[in-house]
Formats: sequence, structure tokens, C-alpha cells
Amino acid sequence: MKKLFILIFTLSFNIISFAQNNSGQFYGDFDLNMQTYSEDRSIGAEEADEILLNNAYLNINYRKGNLYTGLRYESYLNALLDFDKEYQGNGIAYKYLTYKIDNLEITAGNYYDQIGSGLIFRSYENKRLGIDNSMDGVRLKYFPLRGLELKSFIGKSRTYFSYSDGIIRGVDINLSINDIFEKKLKDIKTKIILGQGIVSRYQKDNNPKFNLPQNVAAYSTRVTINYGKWKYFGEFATKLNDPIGALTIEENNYAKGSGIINSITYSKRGLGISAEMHRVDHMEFRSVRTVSKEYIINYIPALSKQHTYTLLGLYPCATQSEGEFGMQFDVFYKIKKGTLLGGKYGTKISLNFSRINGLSGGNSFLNDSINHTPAFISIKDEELYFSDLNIEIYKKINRKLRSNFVLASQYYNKDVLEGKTRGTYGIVKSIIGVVDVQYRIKKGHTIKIELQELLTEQGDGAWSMGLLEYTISPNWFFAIQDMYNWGNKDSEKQLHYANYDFGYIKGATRIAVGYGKKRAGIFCVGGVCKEVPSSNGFNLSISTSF
Amino acid sequence: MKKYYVLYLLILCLFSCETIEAPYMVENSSVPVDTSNNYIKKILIEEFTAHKCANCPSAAEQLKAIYDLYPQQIIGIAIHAKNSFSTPTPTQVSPSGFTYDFRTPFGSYIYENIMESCPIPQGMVNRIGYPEGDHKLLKTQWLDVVENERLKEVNLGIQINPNITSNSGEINILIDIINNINGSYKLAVVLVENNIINWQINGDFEVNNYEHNHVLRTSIYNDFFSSNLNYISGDKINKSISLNIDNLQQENITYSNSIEDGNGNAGEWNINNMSIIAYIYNSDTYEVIQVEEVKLTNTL
Repeated sequence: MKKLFILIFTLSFNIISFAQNNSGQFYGDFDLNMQTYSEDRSIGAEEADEILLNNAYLNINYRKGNLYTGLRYESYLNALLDFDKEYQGNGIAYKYLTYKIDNLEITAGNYYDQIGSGLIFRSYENKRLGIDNSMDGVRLKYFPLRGLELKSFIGKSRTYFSYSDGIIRGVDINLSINDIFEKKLKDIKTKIILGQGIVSRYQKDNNPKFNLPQNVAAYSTRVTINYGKWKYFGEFATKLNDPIGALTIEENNYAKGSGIINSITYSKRGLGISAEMHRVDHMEFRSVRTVSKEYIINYIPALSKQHTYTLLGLYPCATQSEGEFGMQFDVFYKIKKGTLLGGKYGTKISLNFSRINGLSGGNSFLNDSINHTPAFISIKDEELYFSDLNIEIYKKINRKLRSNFVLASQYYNKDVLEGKTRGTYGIVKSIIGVVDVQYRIKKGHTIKIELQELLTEQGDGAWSMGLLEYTISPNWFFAIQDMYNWGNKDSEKQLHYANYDFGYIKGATRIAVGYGKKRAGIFCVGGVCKEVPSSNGFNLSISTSF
Repeated sequence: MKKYYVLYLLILCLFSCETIEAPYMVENSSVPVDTSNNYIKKILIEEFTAHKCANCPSAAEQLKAIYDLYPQQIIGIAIHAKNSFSTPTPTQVSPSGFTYDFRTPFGSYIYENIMESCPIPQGMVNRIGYPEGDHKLLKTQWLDVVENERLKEVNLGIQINPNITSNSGEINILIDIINNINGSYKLAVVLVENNIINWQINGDFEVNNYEHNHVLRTSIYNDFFSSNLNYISGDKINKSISLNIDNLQQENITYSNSIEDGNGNAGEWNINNMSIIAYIYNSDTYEVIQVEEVKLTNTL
């Protein structure tokens, strides 16, 4: 009690000091994205009534001693077309105050956080995806002894410019066995970290027809084991009954959800091997019962390679948190310098394979008339969602010339991964090749050429892409890019999507101007995806930090 | 400090979950209605839908389920939103599915101006939450608002008396003030049609004989019913509205021909399946404070 009083007193004193004496440190960043939208019927691009749309963010933080505070001002006037229309207007959408005393850290206001790999809880923001589910409430972190971290939080999850009805509570314990028993285990080669988390959502039961749980819990156990060159990570999560609260029996699913992640890695100089699997079943956890993406508060890590080349990512894998079984294997090998294949600088080869399929008979389902539990492991005969087999070879040819080659074979279940009616599109099978060459003309001047080809009979048909980029470091860059959908079965849709960009960079400030056409499609980051509409217009982006 | 914190963690863990055991459905879920007044509180659910929207039938089912819970209190309007999901297929294209144009000028006005052209299916319950943006509700959010609205006092009643013969006539509306009310209110009167058998995408299937119910056909009045800002208990306000069904139907056909991708296929109204819905709403907040429905031909 005495310590609590000291804490409040110290906090108050610091806040007053903050107001009177600006001897702390300010830091932050600014980001602006502006785009014009012109009508282009050939690609289905719509004109914006406002002509110009704009997203801007300003983060300002202040730190003094053990006190941290800050806010983010967000402006959507109006939001870019690939953002949800619910983002509209201006406001301070994020504000926080954190204080550290003894081994306790207190945050009031907004915060982002995660338990384990996010299976039961992940509060984060990604501007490119238009996601921000920051929490508004109180978070405490306590470090009673070396190797032990305790965390608890309570709050509401952000939904655009408001907060969800559900109240989210969470507890997490992270235990580093080797640190806690430092003396006894100092000679032990194996390092073990254990974690246990629980998250619960409260939402009032207003449904007169069905009994609904007002407090829905999800919990997870995780373990990390390091042994020399080997590393294992496993996380096992369960979500208790979480029906959506509909009035029809068919829609209320009282089944438990479950999620398992396993990965094992071996790495040594010049060689890395990893194998991963995950199985998720009815594991979407939301800040309210309602099924809608803006309420999701957990995250299922993607189980496929996150490609950076445009055509390799044209058909990206969106994680199906309600049910999928997947596996991924990676091998990285560097052929040594001075060998026949390694040449003067060595050659890097990455081989990756991932495959994701549905669960047998669909996800778990339980109500008064249905009781279905899918098999724990089922691969053969299950509906294929996605697969990707790719090889990447990076070769530095001489001091001026570097090259990268990628060849991939992908299967993409467009109906499932884009939420379309089954049978509408089916599976898109594609072969993709990429050649990426960088040549340093002279000091500070680099030219980069990318040639990409995607061959398929399904979807939009075959694509070609070319990119020419010229960089004058450290300040300037110029780029021309064209995507050409030459294989589209509809001759009117055999279109070019050309983009022209240039930018200036100085210190922490980057200004870029561009013009071009963007195709409608799916954009994903880490398995989380959104639909992007086609567009045609100029864009300006400015970002800086201080 | 340490023991207090551990205790706090334990409390959070122990009281944070509950498991429901079968049976999940409540055995007797009928809810009594307050009939102490001559009028009962009625609630308007405006459902935004489209015939090519695969998830929209599930929202219609939710509306039906809420209606089944409170049959005396729920009145629904299905508004076919003006977006790509409601665009009719050109009539010359074979097969002839999805050629009907359900869109209406009033429906488009509400969808674009109040619902801000949001994704569908979504709906409004008495338009609660406007203009903060909380009025655009997913189907699973409707019931919570209904439960809150049911608890509200009945401040006025509406009586609708249609007198229609041979597709034309008059509708008399009586607004009966029960409690004193302050504010600026408007009256809206619309026609809806039930049992329209036409195409609809339902989940993974294209259904050619889907039953579309309470489909918005037209608005016949949407304005102030009085210049007053203060209404006293006992006030009775009469409003008389003339209408001609053929003319109203022609307006929809003309509208369909005038908008992008329209085809003029917006007729074939069946007067025997039509109802009149009248509702009173606040002209500033758009909140609907009372709503009433009767059959157009008064044969119910």
C-alpha cells in the first residue's frame, strides 16, 4: 500500500514536472500518403468525388526518466480508397502514459501487445493493411526476478475511431528457466523458455434465444528450447466456446477452438534448415462476438514464404484462422567461395516449400444438432488451399554486378482464400520466374532491372512484369515499372499497369512522387490480407522521423 | 508488492471464463410485451441487401429470427443497396437470372447518405448510433440494439388507414402523441412488397426461386408532419397522402433506366403482397422513435 502511494505520488510529480520543465526528450515520426483517383473504366478504377484523398499520421513521444508518454494524431480526409470507409476524419487515436518504478511498469491509455506468437492475442497496427486494434485501458508488467516476466492488461480494442463493446483481460507469464536457476544450470547447454497466457473477453449476453458465455477465455502454453545449433518452438492454444450470438442454431458454434504451432530449426554457418507445421481450428478470436475482420484480436502466423517480388506475391496465401493444416520447409545453403558453383564470392541458394489444406469435414462445430471434430492430421484428399515450391539463387558475380533468380510453382485456391463462392474460380496453378540484376555503374549510381513472368491458364491468365530502377545514393531514386496481363482470356483486359516513381531521401526524410495504375487484387502482410481496389492517379508520400 | 500482484493475476485467471453446456437453446424464449398503452414500442430494422450478395440471405434470416422473437414489435425493410451486388444483368443476356432491378431512388438515397455506401449485408436498428457511425450494424449486432430499444418508452403511436381501390387512393396517417415530446420530427411512409420470387445468390448457390420479403418499393412521403417543435400528450396529428401505384411503379422503371447498368426491369408489382410502413424519426439524429405497418389493401 505504501509503495502504491509512493507510485501515485511519483507519477503525479513527474507529470507536473513534464508540464513545467521540458528537459526530457521528444521523438516521433510523421507519415503522409496522398493519392488522386481518376476514372479508368478499362481497369475498373473509380474516380474519387474529392479527387484527392489523404492519410496522415503524426506520432509524438516524450521521455523523461522513468516516464514515457505520447500520442498519435491521425487524419483521413478522406481515407485512401484501399482503406475502410470507417476511417474518416481526424483525431487523436492513440495516447499513452507509461511509468516504470522498481520492477513494475505501468501503462495507462493505449498500448500494443502480444501473447506468444499471437495465437490468443495480438494488438498491433499495420498502416498498409489498414489494421489498428490497439487497446485502451491499463497494462502492468512486473519483473520480480531475473528470468521471470509477469504481464497483465485490461482494456477495449480499437475499431476504427471507436472501441469495441467487449472488455479484454489478459495475463501472461514468461519464464526463462536458465536465468532463474542461473547458478545450477550455468553449465547446461540447453536453454528453455516457458510461457503461459490467458485472455478473456467479457460481453453481455443479450440473446433471449440462446445461452451465450459472457466471459470467453483463450489460453496458450509455449516453449522454446535452444540446444546448440538446434531451436524448437511450440505453442498450443485453446479457445473456449465462442458462439457468435446469432438467433439461428446453424450459426452458433459452441465448439472449442484450438491452435498448434511447431517449428524446428537447425543452423550453422552456410546452412540453415527449418521445418514448421501449424494446425488451427475455429481459432478466430474477436473483441466482440460479431464475425468481422475489424474485431479480430488474435493472429495466426503465416505458413508460407512472404515474397517481395510482385508476381510471386500476386496470389498470396491468406491464413484461414477458422481451419487449416499447413507445413513449411526451408533450406538455405551457401556454396563456398572458390568452388565451381560458388565462384569468387560464393552462391546462396534458398529452397522453400509450403502446403496448406483444409481440415477434414471443415472446422470443429458444436451446437444442439451438430457435433463435428475434424481429424487431428489430415492431408491427403483434403481441399488444397495453397502450395508454393520455390528456389532462389543469389549470386554476386563481381564487385559491380549482383543477380538473384527465383523460380516458383504455386497453387492458389482463389475461392477459399478470397472468400468467394466455391466453384467460382477454383485453383489457380502458376509457374513464376524472376530475374533481378543490379549493376553499380559508378560510385553511388546503381541500376536495377527486374524481369518477372507468371504463367497460368486460370485466374487472370499470364502476366509479365518489368522494373527499371536507377538510384543515385544517398538522395535520389527513379523507377519505371510495367505489369502486363497479356494472358487474360478477355482481350479487353489484356492491359498494361504502368507506374512511374521518383523520390528524394535526406537523412530520415523521404519524399516520393508517383503516377500509375494499380490492379485490383489481394494485398497481404504475414498472412493477413485485404482487398485492394484498382486505381489510377498520382501519389505523394512523405515520411520523416525526429 | 509481489504477493499483491500474483493475487491480482490469479483473480484475473479464475474469473475470466465460463463454459456453456448443452442444450444451448433456451427452452422458453418468449418475451412478454408491455401492452399497458394502446400502443406498443415497435422497432424498425432496415436491412441493406442485394440479389448478388451471397451473404445477404443470412442477414435476412437474422431479421426473420428477430421478428420471430418479437413478432408484435419488429418491422423490417429490405433495401437493395445501389452497388455492384445489386446491378441487374442486362435482359438480353442469357440465362435470364438476376435481370430484375430491385433498386429504388429512396433506397439509394438512404444507402448513400445515411449508410455511406457501406459494405453489405449491414443494417440499422431504429438508426441508433447515427451520426457517430455506430448505426451501421452487422447482423449479429442487431439484437443487442433491439433489446435496448424494447426498453424505451412509447412516446407516440401511429395509425395507418389505407383506402385503395383500383391501384390508387389515399392513406390516412394518425399520429397520436402519448408523452410530451420536444424536437424536430419527420414522417416517412414507404411501400414494401413481400413474397417476390426471384433470383438470389445464397452462399455457394444461385437460387432462382428465392423469396424476397419486405422489399422496399417506394417512398410516398418523407417530410415534416408538423411545424411544431413541442408536442403535448394528447395531441393528434392527421396526415393524408394520395397515391397511384402505376405511377409509382413507373417512377422505379424510369429510375432503373436512368442509372448506370439499369435496365428498366423494375415493374410487376403485386399490390396484394404490399404493405405500408410509416415511421417517425428525428430530423437531426434520424433516430426512429416509432413505426407501424399495415397491409396496403387492408385485407390482413
